[in-house]
Amino acid sequence: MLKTTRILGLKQIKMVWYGLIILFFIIFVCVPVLYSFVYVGTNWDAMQTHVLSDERLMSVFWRSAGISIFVALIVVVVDILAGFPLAWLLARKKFRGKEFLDTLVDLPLVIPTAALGFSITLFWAHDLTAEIARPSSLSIVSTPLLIVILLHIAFTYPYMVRSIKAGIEEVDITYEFAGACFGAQRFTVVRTITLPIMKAALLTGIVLCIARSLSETGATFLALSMVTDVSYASISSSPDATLTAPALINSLKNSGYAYINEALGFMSMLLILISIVLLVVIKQFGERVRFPFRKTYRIETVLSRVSFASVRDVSGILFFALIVFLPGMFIISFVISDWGNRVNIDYWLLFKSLGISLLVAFLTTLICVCTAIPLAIYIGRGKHRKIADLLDVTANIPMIVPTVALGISLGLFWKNFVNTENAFTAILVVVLAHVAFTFPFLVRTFASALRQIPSDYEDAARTLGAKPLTVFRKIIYPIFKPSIIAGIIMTFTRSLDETGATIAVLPANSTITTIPVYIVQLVKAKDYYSAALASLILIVIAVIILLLVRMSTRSEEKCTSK
Amino acid sequence: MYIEVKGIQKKFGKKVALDNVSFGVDKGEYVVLLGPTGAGKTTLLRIIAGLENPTQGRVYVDGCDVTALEPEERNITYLSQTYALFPHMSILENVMFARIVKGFDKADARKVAEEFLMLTHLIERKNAYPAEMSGGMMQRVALARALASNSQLMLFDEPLRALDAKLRIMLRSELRKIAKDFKITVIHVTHDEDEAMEMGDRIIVLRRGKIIQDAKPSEIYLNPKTPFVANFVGGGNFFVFYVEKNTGNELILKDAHGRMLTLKKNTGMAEGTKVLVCVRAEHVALSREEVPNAFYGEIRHIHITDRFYEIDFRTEREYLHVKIPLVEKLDFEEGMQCWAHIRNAICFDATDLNIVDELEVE
Repeated sequence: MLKTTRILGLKQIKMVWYGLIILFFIIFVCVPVLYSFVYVGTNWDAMQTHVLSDERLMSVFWRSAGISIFVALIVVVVDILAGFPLAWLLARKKFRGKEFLDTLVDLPLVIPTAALGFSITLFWAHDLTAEIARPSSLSIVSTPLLIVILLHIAFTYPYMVRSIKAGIEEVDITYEFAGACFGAQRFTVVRTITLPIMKAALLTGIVLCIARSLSETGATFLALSMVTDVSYASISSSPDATLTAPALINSLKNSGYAYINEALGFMSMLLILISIVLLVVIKQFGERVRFPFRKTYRIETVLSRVSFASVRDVSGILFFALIVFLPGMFIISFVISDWGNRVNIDYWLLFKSLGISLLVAFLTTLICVCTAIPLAIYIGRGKHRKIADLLDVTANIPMIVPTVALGISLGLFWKNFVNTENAFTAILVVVLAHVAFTFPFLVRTFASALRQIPSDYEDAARTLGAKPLTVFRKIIYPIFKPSIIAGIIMTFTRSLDETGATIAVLPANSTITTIPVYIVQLVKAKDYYSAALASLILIVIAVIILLLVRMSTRSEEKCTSK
Repeated sequence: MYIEVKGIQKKFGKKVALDNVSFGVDKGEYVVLLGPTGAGKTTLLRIIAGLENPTQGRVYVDGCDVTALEPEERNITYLSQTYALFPHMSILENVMFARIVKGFDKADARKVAEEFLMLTHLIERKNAYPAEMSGGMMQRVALARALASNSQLMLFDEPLRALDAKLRIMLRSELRKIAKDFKITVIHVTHDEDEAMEMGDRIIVLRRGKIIQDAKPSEIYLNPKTPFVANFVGGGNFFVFYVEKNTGNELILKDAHGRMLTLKKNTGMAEGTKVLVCVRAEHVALSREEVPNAFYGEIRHIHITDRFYEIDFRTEREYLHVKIPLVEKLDFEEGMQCWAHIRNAICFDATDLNIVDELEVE
């Protein structure tokens, strides 16, 4: 009955299997991410002679990095202030249409930023050429920096609302009752009790928003190219040009700059370093900071009044509607009102790009599912806690690194092995780049879901004789189905959405374009109507995906309530 | 020996959870692992099941070394305190699970599962889901599922913990009876001394990762190896005395306040030895007249439990816990002054004993 004399026991087979998964993670996710460091290190002489000595390039880079950080910080502050009212409303109030509002808030999460950026710029930008300025748009903003900030608020805002909402929902409301019983005003209760308890969630929101803002390439580049001249020649000659660091990398890529690989490699490395350092500092600082509760302030009495609550609710909804939703959806009115202009659309290229996008997203998701799920199980359930914790931390890195830097790093890495001029290998390399930054999302979602539920069910199944695959098929998958599906859909959307990494990983003249890249190209060529139509197609796909997510989370609620 | 555990050590980081634990279990035996929370009982059980790897030591089942085997290869069923009934499967599917994954024919799995559901009086609820069942029912489903798995060894981790007090006591005898009827070997973990005394053929007392005593329930009660065991199983009143005189069959003790106690004990304790005396509450009697071996004091409170009058007796120096069987006539009242007569006691040599530490229950 007991087979103790086999050469390769079940335990050994499992070790080999997990070893392979970890190897995959290291080779396809970690190494390419860190390759820019190796690249800079091994080509240090070239760096010194061609990159560091080019003062103009370096000054543009530092300037753009400064703007990136500035935008990220402004955006996160606005997100917190404007996100709180809406998050509170969604977490604590019951009203008709709440679920609908909840879905709308998530919408910018799944809409590709290229489409969002295009729509928002159309809505706000002032000095667009007369032929595309629409009467229904506001057209009041002429500062490129302000456009960038408005754009970044729109796509980071849902992350903040989601995080804060999750935080508020986790706070046991009886703590607030207890505080109120001791005589604290409503606002004081929130400041001294709710806020400190949900600090971790707030911090998650801050890190997510900053990471997203630092990382965004396609939409920012696209928005800026609509209002200013973003060619490298123009930027490097005007000392006060507005450009974020990822947008600079994008612009440099197509500039025909002499030492392009060296410059891009060096900048990617710096950008990766900057984001890691910035986020680590914020995390460390955030964990230490405490909310003071030495005294109460007079203003809290005012803020605690019932009338303030409705001001708060209304302003929360208004902010969302005016800053996020309407500008984001403006493109629909643009497409409809300009329907007559649709003459010179290149449908072949449009659908080819769409096809490539869907293929890439599909392959990326497939590879991620096959590798991220076992890795998440190892992280969540593995017996070697130290290795698991190390993997858990490592898996976070690609999440906070700007995808464009990741793309450059990956491009440099894979160039050593494959020829990206070939269409087949080009798609393959794009897929690998997408795997590198979507992989952590799936690992994180699933690993944290696993950690929330003790391993009792799996333990029971195993002692009843179920083999690992059976345990997954019959126990883990049915129980964790909602979070697995949500993770899969998230991976798919992120891949469909990605602009920066795709552009970065391919050669400048590549014929392989995904649909967000195609939108950027169309905007550069001033073919706004085609860009709008392509964006609308992406938005429709995004809405369908969002509805799928909703359905999967709804079945989760049903499961837990039973 | 059917199960043999040899020299098990388990470290979590630097913390030693189990330290050189060895014991054996015979086929068909019902062994209880008893100890306070954090003693390492669950860890030990999980190591036997294969859910946890020991840092050192080996586990043998039926003479085979199974230490390197995965849980699914061991044919040992582990019943956790949460029962872990699969929430997405019906009761019948839960009970069929083990047979199906072990490759039995589906019809056979169904037949066996239905038999065990019949036995546990759950057959009418076979299509219900775990979330629809009460705690007691879930416990029975978990038991049926374990029985249907065809394994000869079962590990119960606090199987009655999540149940209401009354049900918990009722199910003790039922659980033991089923295990005995099916000739199953059981290792049962609990921190409840009454449960251990009632259910175990043998009790292994575990404290801070070490086995303190491994004996029959009666032996554990009558001859506890350390004050900890005496306090944890049965409990009682503890006093520090010094040997005044040892006549060979009588031990005369005296405490720091000059109180004397004479016990009929044959120990080798020399004069002057520090002794920790454990007096079981049920070994104290009340008396209106002065008798030898008695402390004078006042009855503070009397209350009735299932078999005893429980009395809080206040002497000059301490509270004494006294139990008088309900069958006896109690002609004492609260507030009365009388004598507490110590009829029997257990003595521990306290020379090298950290008494406070020994009497800690956690």
